[in-house]
Amino acid sequence: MNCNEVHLAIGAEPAATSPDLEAHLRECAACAEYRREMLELDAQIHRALKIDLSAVGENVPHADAARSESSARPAVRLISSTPSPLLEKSSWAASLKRQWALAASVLFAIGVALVLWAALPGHTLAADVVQHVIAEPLPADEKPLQPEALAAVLQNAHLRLDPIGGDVLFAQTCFFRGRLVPHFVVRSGGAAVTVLVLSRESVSAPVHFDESGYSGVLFPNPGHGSIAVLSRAQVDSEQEARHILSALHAQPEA
Amino acid sequence: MIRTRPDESGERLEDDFGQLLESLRPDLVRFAYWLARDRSIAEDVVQEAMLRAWRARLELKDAAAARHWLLTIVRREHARLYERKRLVTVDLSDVIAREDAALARAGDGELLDLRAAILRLPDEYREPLVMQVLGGYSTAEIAKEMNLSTPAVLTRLFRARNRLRAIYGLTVDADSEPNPEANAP
Repeated sequence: MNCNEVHLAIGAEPAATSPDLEAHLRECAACAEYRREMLELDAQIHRALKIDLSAVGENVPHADAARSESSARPAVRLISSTPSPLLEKSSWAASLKRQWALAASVLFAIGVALVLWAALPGHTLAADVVQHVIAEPLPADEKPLQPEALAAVLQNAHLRLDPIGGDVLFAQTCFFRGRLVPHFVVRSGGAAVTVLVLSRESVSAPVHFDESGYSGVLFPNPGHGSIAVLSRAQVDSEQEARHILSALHAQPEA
Repeated sequence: MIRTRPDESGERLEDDFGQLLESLRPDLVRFAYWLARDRSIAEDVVQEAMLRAWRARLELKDAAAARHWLLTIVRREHARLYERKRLVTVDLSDVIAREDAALARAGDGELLDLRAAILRLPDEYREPLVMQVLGGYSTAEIAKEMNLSTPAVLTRLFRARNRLRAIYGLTVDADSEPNPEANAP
């Protein structure tokens, strides 16, 4: 192998090795250095690609703001190199006290969070439903679909819906919380009403929600999870849910 | 009201598969992000890919191969999306300006320049690099997926890294390296 070939091989696969390559690297210091640089670069590329997705696409404070905030704090903390035993003891006691106070605060916060969580059953589910619906906008033309389109989506979930009146504007099988769920939109009294059939998400009683411009209900379907019914318009979502559930039937699997 | 109940062992398998998909989702979105350079497109691609994976779940015989299998579905779905919708080309200066602060915060700020440089790489260089470094694909696998010869993939990987070397002030090889792409499709 000559230096050109070695550069190409290392540039393409820095970690790859072969007897020919190793023999060349033993003789050629420049190529050995090139490989060391490329291995370092590759480690950096890997780190760069392993991006924290929670930060991407969010509005985050501008870097200048973060810098000015940090500049307001003291840059260094002065610590005596020979602390007196008394000072050392009182610092230790204060530190212990602070640790207990911190632990108590954390426990209190967890307790409050648990109480709130228990008091708001289904809240997270409702938020997930709304988030999902926002991510699946209706086609701009809002042309009605053929009833067969909805039938096909429901058939995937082994379901059938008797005629409920109103046009079907959207029907799709969606991936939601690790499950495939039927998602459809019907026009009811002039308003677009979205329905998600959540056969694996149970609620013990109707859970009403009003989030991000959508209001609706998670309505129990005893023994078979629930359905979510929501709309941007003012509709009686609970009545809509009862109406849809009365028309929804399971189909035996083939 | 729904009255019948599906078979429970089937449900358990579906649960396991659903959990597997969810656990790999961050990796898939990250992979799709570097292909599409847009978070919302990446989310769409992964959503479609997961639907495909779910429908084809019986084809996956070995759970250990799931990540690679899913990454391949994501890559194909990304390619399909562009074929189908003829998406408007992403304006890179907009992307970088929009994502700068987020990219800087997503881990080490020192990597900001490198991330911006990766975003600037042409698709034909960025894609094999992401497949290799993030996806763990071998050169032969990349060649097969991208319908290229192995030497062509090696050249693209070399050129991708060569361009990124400049970020660290390292000497950049001329692009006149021996060109095995001459016989590439």
